[in-house]
Amino acid sequence: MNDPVSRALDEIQSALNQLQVQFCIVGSLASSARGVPRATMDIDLLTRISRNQADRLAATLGATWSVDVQAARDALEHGRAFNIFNLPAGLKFDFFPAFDDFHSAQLERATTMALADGTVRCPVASAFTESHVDPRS
Amino acid sequence: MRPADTSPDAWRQYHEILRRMSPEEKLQRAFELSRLVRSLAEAGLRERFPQATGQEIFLRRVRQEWGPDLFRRVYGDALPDERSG
Repeated sequence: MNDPVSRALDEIQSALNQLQVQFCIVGSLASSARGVPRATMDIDLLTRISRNQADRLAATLGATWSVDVQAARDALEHGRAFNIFNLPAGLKFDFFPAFDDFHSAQLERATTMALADGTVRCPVASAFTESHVDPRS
Repeated sequence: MRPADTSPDAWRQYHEILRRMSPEEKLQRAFELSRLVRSLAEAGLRERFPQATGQEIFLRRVRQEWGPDLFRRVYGDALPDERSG
């Protein structure tokens, strides 16, 4: 796996699986799969992540990632999104907390697809709207 | 919505092409487009900073993408030169 984006996706998927965090890709990547493909500079994840799991995310991901645990805790407490960063790829991941029935349906109905250079497969939301963006943020 | 630089006929043809693509193919296309955008941004930076190493070009591109404040928060002073770009 030579592509840094694929490596980052593989690492984050492994970490989230290890922490037993349910997630799927949403946002412009998911809408690219279902509609018109477009370039995007970051990756949006819908996640069912607790503050306790967020605390352990930095250690699970390791030194090639930047995770502000306190910012993540604060965001989750208020039902807002938070960001983490993969340093080798220069890639931002936006974590959107799942908090309503629509999000639950997105997580349940996500289908697995090959991403980036095709060596990594992740769940991608099959129903998408912009509602993954927290209206309170 | 149809872009202003695309005729109705071309737009219809484009959608016909997209209709024949699987969701996975369209997702791959999005990753390819994103990679293309990044490589073009780095090519532009290489013109502006011909002496820069590959790592410096990468960092400058990330700073361009994220803005100086977020870049500094994540990468610290990896690029001590505070010129934008």
